[in-house]
Amino acid sequence: MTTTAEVLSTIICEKFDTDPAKIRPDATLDDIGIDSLDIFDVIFSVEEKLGIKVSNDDVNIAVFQDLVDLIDRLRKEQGKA
Amino acid sequence: MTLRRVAVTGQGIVSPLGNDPAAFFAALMAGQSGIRRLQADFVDQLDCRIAAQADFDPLQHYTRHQASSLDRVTQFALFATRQSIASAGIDMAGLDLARTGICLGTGMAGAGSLDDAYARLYRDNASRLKPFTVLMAMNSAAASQIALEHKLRGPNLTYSTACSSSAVAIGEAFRLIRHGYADTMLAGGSEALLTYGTIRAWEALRTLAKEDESDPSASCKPFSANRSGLVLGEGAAIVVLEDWDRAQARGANILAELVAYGSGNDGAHITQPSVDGQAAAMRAALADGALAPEAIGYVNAHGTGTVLNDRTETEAIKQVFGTRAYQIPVSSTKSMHGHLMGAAGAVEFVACLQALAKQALPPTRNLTTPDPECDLDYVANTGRQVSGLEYVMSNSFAFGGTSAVLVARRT
Repeated sequence: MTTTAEVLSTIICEKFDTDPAKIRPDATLDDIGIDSLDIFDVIFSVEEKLGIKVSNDDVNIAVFQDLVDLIDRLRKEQGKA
Repeated sequence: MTLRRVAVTGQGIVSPLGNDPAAFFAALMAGQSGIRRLQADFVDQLDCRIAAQADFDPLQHYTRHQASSLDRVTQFALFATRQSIASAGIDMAGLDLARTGICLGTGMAGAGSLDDAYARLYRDNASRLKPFTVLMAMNSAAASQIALEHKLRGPNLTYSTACSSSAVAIGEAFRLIRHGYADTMLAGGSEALLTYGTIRAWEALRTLAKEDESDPSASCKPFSANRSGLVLGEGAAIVVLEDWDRAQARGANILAELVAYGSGNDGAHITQPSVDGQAAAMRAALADGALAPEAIGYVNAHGTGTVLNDRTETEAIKQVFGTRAYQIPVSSTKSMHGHLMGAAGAVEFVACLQALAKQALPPTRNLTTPDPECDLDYVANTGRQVSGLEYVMSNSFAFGGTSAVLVARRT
């Protein structure tokens, strides 16, 4: 099964033509080359791809791993893991 | 306060007749039409299946993310702006960017983004929309993206007066420079309304041309007795306007001098044009440039190809120019590039700049059966080389009533 990190990495790379090497667990949005508005675009695509819902209150992302953890948690909670 | 002169130093275009000004004008002079069967997956659901589409591949100009987060109207505007700045030979970094701005006209702005969003909501029962929907659809999106790309810190203004939007934008930018509020302005318009919802709305208004059965490209017939209406088009045009002295000091290639802008409102009817309103705007432009009517050597008509517009504009031109109206060539290039709505005035202003430079008048295509009530010299069917063309007038009149008339002078 595709891991959440792989799903997110693919979405980001396809959307922003990002170099996959930049997407490390400790990479900040700045390191990846996206901003706080772009992250909502990523979440929108993740919601569509995985069939989950992400509440605005949950979105507090400092580094890439925060995003992975959030989506992992929601996949389990919403039975989409 | 001394009024400053305004130079036009750059031009850029996305149009149904090509995406650079020289190609666009060459097509006009050759009497080519950009009107054809609409290429869209919803075309079979339409009554009106013709349009003037721009051949524009966003991925040639933008990254995938930009292409998916900028409405087509903004994509057109940004590309036309890049062209215009390049043709002006301006080093943007060398400008006082606090005195550099953008005035943009658009009629329906991000119509495509709204159409997509509402289809997802109402048709597909989507639970949420793309995060960029507002930023793509908002009326000021295109102007704001231009301002962002070029780091402009002066005026960032969007005008929406339907079909006259971009003529108003150019006119207002002209005033900003003339009166000293800005030194350099990007100005023009953009429109990308060939969406399912928008075309259906236009169909409901019953102003769209019927498809010419023998030749779809000839469906728009301004001033012709067998006209049947306007043809929707899409595209953008942006010009660079500069304070004359600065343009000269930097050795700019000055394309023309923008000498006058007249505007006003009919105050009469939401769709029916007014002879008095249109004449007043043309007179206002002549007065603004301290020009005698005799100075004008060519009029690029609003010329939509509706009975009401063609006859009203013809009458207004006669009211302003008197018996000399019959000696002034007047043409409607909409017969070839369609009606670009919020971008129409700017696209036609580029046609006027080219006419001055090339000393050539583009024709009114498809004018084989003149309407007896439209009896001016409409440069029927064949473009014309001229000499001594000094001043050209570009007319834009709108649903809602806002008129805008620009006058440019050869340099």
